[in-house]
Formats: sequence, structure tokens, C-alpha cells
Amino acid sequence: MMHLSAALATPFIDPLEAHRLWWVFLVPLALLISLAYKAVRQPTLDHIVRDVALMTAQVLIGMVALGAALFLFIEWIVPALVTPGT
Amino acid sequence: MTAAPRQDESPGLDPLAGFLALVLPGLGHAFRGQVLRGVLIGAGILGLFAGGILIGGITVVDSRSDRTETRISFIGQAFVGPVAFAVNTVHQSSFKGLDPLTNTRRHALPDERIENGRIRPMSLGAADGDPPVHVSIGKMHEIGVLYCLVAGMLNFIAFLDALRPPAKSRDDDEPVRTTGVVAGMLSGQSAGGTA
Repeated sequence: MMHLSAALATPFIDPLEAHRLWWVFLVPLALLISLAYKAVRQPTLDHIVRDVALMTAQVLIGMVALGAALFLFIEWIVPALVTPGT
Repeated sequence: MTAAPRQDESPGLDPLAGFLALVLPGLGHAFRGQVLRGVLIGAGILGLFAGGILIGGITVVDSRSDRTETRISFIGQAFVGPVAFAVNTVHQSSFKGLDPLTNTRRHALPDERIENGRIRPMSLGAADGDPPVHVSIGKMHEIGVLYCLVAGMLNFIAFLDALRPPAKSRDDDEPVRTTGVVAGMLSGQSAGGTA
């Protein structure tokens, strides 16, 4: 349930009350980075939509893969190294 | 024997386009005639900057922040151009007050209010109401700062691209993919064939 102060928050002045959904903001971040980067780097803009979608997917998959790899490292590999034989 | 014209000759520096790219993201490319490219660059970079302020509030752009990472991040955010400096100026002047005890400018705490540019505790008779700004914390602040910082870094890339564009004009025809020795060999071969 939205807090009263969040309901009264002024957009662009006060922060959003979305701490539990912080990861959702990584999607528009990847999309806008891809849009600006591809607009600069692509020789032609004929396939800009496809290129931006592809780079966005690559960035998101990369972030998920990095997160999964770090999770495995911290939850499985590090404990195994610290307590050998368990 | 005359040398064949090089196809990979750079058009050289364009200081005005570079300056315009720093004034407003995408304006440098639009000035060079690549309007659609400029619009897309502007949409991406200004979208990131506005998105960062929407997520983390105006406190994510703060050149005099108490938080070191936020203060350092403003160096990167500044590459967005005058927009970033305008937001920072509004933030410093309208949402911070002078602390009479330390003689420094800071945000008002929840039990304080800003009156005539000075921070005054409510216990000393400051008017009731909400503080002028809720300072963002945690993930919302980090993501907001990240959005604005990435916007500045991307505009730096766009600035370099507008200042010194690639070898051949883009959007006109196929780009030149071979440069240097390979391009010289190809142009020499072409000249030899037509001689």
C-alpha cells in the first residue's frame, strides 16, 4: 500500500517510493543507453529499432548472468572454500 | 603518376558541432545535417537524465552533496550540458537552506523548515508543513545518480562523434569499412585499373 508521503510526492523533486522494485528500472536504463549508443555508433539508422532491441536484450541478459554468477560464487563457492570438506 | 583520392579522408574537426553537442544532447549531429540521429541521441540522453531525476528526485544532481559518490558523480553528469547545471543551481538555491550553526547550506531535516533561505527548527516556531524536498536514500538514490551519470557519459561520446565524425558521411550511403593500408591498396588498384 502506498504511503501517504508517497502519494503527496512531487515528481522530479521527491524520489519514487519503489525500493522493492528497484530492479525494474534497469530495463529502461538498458533501453535508453542502447538507444543513445546505437544512434551514435551505427553507420546507418535503417535498422535502429532492431539494433536497439538486440543491444537491450544483450545488456539485460548480461546483467542477469552476472547476477547469477555472483550468487553462485557467494552462496556456493566461497562457503566451500572457507569450510573445506563440507 | 597521380595518386587516387583517398576515400577514408576524415572531414576534420568541427568545433561548432562539438560545442552544440555540449549545449544540448543531439544538437551537434542535427547541426551537421543528421537530424534523425540527433533526435535519437537527444531522446536517449535527456530521457536518461530526466528518468534519473524522476526516480531519485532532484537530490541526485548535487555538486555539493554530503555524499562523496554523489558529489563526484556530478563531474560526469555535467557532460549533459547546461541542463545539468540548471538543475543543480535550482537544487542548491531552492531546496537547501543555510544552517545558522555551521554556516553551510544543507537540506532541511524532517523537523526543520526553510524560511527565507535559512533552516529553522519547528521547535523554534518554524511554520508547519512538509519539508521542501524528501532526500532520496538507498537504491532509489543510487539508480537515480546512475541514470544521470550514464547520460553525461553518453553525451561525452556524442560530443566526440560530433566534433570529429567518422571517415565518411553516414546516412548517405554505405560506410567505408576499410581504412589505412587496405584502403590505400584498394584505391591504388582502382587507379591502376582505370589508367
